[in-house]
Amino acid sequence: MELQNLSFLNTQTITVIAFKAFAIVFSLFYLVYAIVIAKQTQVMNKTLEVKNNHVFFVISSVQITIGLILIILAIILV
Amino acid sequence: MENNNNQSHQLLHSYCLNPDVRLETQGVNEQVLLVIRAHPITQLHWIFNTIILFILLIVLNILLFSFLTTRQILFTNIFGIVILLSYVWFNFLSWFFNVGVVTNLRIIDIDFISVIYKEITEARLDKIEDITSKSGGYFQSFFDYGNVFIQTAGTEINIEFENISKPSEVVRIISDLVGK
Repeated sequence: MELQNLSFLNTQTITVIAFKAFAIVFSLFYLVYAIVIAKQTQVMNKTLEVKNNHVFFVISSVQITIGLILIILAIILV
Repeated sequence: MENNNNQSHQLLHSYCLNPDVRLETQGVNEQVLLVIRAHPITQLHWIFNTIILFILLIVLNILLFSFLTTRQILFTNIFGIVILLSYVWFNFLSWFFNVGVVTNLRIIDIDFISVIYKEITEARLDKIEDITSKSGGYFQSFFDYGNVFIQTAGTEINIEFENISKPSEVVRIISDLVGK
């Protein structure tokens, strides 16, 4: 009876679930990394002010946005 | 910021004379005369790694084609490219913000170890006792880069600039300033 209930868990389903779980976890890790780097970029910009230093802030912000997009993709696409 | 006379940026901004740069701890009468970074040739390893990792990603595509669905392959590719670009950005930041700064009053060594840890060492020009430049080997001689070691008086911390461009020029500039 129990085996019949678990029959939907074929190899393909397990692979899909495992891949989705890994995708979400790694995307979350990436987002945390992007936030840390963005914060540290602000510290570095403050320590050494160069011309056009707003470029660093923009790139770091883009990195965070990509991190968020990755999480959405991991949930929806995969 | 105000000293723009004879401003020059050489070797991909690894040797900047009178740059348009301001320090967090810069005094009112202090002028930044020189900003030095590691020679671009010393950064080739991570550029090479990026190319290798990109090729590996293409190979991975071929290998995973039979195991994963199209959506999963698409996500793996996007994720791989994002990680690669982050690796490039991380290494660029490490290079760009690890600088040696020479002002008319002091010498500052700013290190961001792995981007996360900040270490700032400084020595006043009047405390400097000895300056040594070391440049050896085929690559260092050919591309004119090396280490500069600045020894300070007493218990003050010594400063070392590693793999910087034009080490002998840097020693000459610091020696001139110390001699004044």
